[in-house]
Amino acid sequence: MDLMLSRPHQARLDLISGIKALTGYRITPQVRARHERRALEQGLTDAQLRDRGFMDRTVGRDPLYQASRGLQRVTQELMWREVARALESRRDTLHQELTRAPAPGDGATLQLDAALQLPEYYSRVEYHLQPGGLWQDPLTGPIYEIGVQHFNLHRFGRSGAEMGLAVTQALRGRDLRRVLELGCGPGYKAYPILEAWPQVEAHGIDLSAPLLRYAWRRAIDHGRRVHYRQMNAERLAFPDASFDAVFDMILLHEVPVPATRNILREAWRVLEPGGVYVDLDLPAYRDVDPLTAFTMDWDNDHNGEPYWRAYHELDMREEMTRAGFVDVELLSITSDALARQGNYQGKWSYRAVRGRKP
Amino acid sequence: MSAAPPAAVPDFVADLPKTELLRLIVALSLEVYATADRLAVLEGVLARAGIDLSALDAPTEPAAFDPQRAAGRDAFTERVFGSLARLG
Repeated sequence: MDLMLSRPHQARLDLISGIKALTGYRITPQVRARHERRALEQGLTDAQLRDRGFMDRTVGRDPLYQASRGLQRVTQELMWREVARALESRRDTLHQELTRAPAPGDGATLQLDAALQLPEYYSRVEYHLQPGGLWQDPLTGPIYEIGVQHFNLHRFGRSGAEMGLAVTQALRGRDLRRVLELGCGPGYKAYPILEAWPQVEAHGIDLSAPLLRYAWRRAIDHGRRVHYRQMNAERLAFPDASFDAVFDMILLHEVPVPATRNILREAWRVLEPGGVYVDLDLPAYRDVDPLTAFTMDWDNDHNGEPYWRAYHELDMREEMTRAGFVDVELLSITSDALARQGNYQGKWSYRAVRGRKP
Repeated sequence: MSAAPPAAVPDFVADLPKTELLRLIVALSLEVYATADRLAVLEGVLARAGIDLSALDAPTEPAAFDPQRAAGRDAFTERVFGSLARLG
């Protein structure tokens, strides 16, 4: 599926990325420098710096910070609008490609469930401000992939493989035969795992029919053998002990805490004894400096991330242990791109939580 | 006779949300940038005298993968938005 955009649309998106880059690389470091100077001069305590109200009254009133947040919000809105407009003239063609009948030799398979009830916590959210959320527009998949590439400033190259490489690191050394990705979305993030374990039988589930259609179509185009099914990760349709690894990439910050607990319980159930679960995401607030935590937290209220705060304040080691996992570890996995350049929020390493079913 | 002090100019849009202004500015800048980009393409086409206008709307890789366009985009961003990075 060719998603290259015409030049005028691409030019607008290029500038959106340019403004996001200015926000991340020029403005944010100055916000940090002023914040650190203020903290030093006023002898601010860690308790003050971890207090959202206090930070709102100090950093939140810095014109530089306000400029960065305003630009971030507006560019995010305009980015989705531009991507949708760019694809509008090709809507019918793309829709036909996404809904074509399976053919022998496809490799990838797709099984949708028209009777699946989407959880209300999911269906009402426009994640990352994407209009229609992740399930309403039949072109959700292509729109998502193009938008996320620009949102990420193309730091991960054309493949978008960064997170999958991080999960591969967390699974390294294991003999994987059958794996499941929860909340697989457009699917491409898992390609590095398929490359690292070429014989693995790979399954991906998601709530969104449009995203799964896109994942399936994209997998066919890229010669990936993945079995996609529409399913709620809180109630997996797989029998007990079906997989030797289950993983997710930035899924759990998109669901409320009770759903996270259900998902962990289900992941444990479908794992074979000795199997591992890996949750890949950004670090917990407590594991980053106060300004980074404060800046991260902005997304909760202003970037279509209503469960972000609760996830990043959750003790995932405790949650995994409570779900029955043992040998639970928090792994910091350096991302070349995020560690070198950061994004509009600063520089990052991924945080993987890995646990084993006894 | 000394000149009268300049009359204070009221802030006509004091209650207009600044985010709306920012939205408008960013949206406008996207249009300006797209137009500038389009003209640059047109100039190139005309210079070659081939007048292949299809290039104006040709499918295009993101500037992130074209160092020359990325540099032009970054310079433009700095000219228009750089002042925000120097807010006192």
